[in-house]
Amino acid sequence: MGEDRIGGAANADLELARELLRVRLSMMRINDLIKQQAFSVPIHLALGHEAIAVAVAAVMEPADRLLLTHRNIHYNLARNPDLGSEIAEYRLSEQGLGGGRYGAMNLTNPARGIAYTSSILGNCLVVAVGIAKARKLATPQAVTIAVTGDGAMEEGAFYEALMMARSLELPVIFLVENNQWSMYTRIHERRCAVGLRGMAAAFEIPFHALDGCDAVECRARLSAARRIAIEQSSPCIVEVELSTLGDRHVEEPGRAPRYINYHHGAVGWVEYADDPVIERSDRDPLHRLARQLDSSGWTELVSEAREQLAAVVA
Amino acid sequence: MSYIERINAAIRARIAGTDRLVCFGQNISAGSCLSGLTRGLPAGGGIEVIDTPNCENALVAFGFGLMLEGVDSIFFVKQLDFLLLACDQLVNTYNMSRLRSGIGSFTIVPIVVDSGFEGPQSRLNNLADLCSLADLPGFTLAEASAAERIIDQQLIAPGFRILALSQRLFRTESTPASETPAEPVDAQAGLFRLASGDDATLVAFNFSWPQARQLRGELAERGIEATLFGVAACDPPDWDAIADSVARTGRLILLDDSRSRNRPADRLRAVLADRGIPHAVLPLYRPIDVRDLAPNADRFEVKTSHVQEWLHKTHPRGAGSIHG
Repeated sequence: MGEDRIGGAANADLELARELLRVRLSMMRINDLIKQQAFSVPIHLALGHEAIAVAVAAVMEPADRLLLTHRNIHYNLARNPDLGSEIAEYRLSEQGLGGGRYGAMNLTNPARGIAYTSSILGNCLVVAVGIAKARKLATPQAVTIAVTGDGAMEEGAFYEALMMARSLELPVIFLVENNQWSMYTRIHERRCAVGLRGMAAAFEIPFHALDGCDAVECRARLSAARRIAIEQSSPCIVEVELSTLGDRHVEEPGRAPRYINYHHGAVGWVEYADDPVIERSDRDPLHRLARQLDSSGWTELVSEAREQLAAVVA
Repeated sequence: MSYIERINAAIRARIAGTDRLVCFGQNISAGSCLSGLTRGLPAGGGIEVIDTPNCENALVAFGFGLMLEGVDSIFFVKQLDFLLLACDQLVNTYNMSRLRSGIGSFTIVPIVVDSGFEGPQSRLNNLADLCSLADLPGFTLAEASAAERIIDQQLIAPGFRILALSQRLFRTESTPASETPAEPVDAQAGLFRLASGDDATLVAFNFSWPQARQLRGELAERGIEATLFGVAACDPPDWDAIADSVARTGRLILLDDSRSRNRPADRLRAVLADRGIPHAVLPLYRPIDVRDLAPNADRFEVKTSHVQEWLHKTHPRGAGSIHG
């Protein structure tokens, strides 16, 4: 294992680490471009969501399908190593990944398994059921992964999708990215608590809780969830606890000044040239990764990642 | 045969000619099979028939998902107004699908609740209202002979469309011998000619074809020969045949049983105005009244004497020159 080894990481983990860094730095570069007003379309960054995205990309097989939401940049980047084609799409260029037809909030990449993306909360969950049925007709060895958030799961479509997928015995992974926020309100500010474990139990389907800052764990547990979904021909719920980095301070009428979650647009205080670790806490999967490597290993990995993006960044 | 028996036969025949298809909807192979609409759907081989849960938003999405993966499907739904629960899918997912190529066929076949005494749920009796949400391709199956052609061409074809039936017509007699078959002006575009004449141009929209045929027949008994068009498409791409007829007759009679202010007939009127075709027009529309919200007979009735009087007044060769 000696040749491809940086700072003590095993080979497989190293590849995951490289992908984490690539996705993070790619988003930091796009963040710079947003600040330069390079795009007309609204872009929802997913700084802090990289671990689950690279894990999904790692476990997906060619027959699998992935359906996304308006905050899809991390999955699109994880499935597509060509940052230039993503940026071109955001510029609505014909050279873009989708020929300039999709922009950011609806960006799909069928060639890489991203079958459908919707900017409407809950929309993709039910479309995923039809796609899963079509995949099952084609092969019993495919799963469909439908990504949503703790806000979109409030839509009735979430319930309908679970019921349909369970009724038709379809292997759909309903992946809920739980960052605790829906735009500018936390869960407890807008609704009652909803236990997804209990909801899964109600439908008699598996439930998996993942630490969204740990890419290695996400990959391992997602791989198991995928295998079980195919073996049992059953949907499951995967809840991923994570944080969207880029909080900002706001003063709103009638409220005490507070920090709110990043929603869309640029994060003013993040620069591509900065350290890719945005927050030195367990909320940042890059911080978690950096701690697993020794200092020189981390530096080497970051340099390598920046070098690979150099042509696009230039 | 009844209207629904002919349509059911046409659907079964079209489905039997396909290799792979997913038919789905609530109770489509159980009980009355949607009052006979889905009775005896061929299943087996590559054709699957699924009785689904009650979740219209998911069901419409299900069809779009299949379509995006190239699998053909038909969603049979008991009531048109149930589709209101799926507006997000009908607008946003449909619009996304329009950006894609290589897609399968997805057709929704709903029944319009217009049989009377159904209360508020019969208020949405106009397919054009739903289709206007996102330029949805929609066709009313207002007469069996035209429906057979539309089903043959549109039921399973790449892309998405809605083919709507009228509940009120289900038990009406519809043997091929009982009516002059609708002649397709452009069946793909949903425009049919039901009769020819030079005294006036009658155009039937939504499900008013039976009333239009009856009116045309009663006028003919009085010596007034009218050309009658049936417009099945909610938004026909080409009005030329109707415009040519109006240019010849100078008089246009529009029949529409919709309870709506969104009428394809008004688009026809705009086209004729844009082209500067001189003509007199008699719109026979259903009045929109809050009393319609309460259960009622839900009848669209046309007074032939009223139409005849109007024709006398507007005849280009002078009043009274038409017999009757």
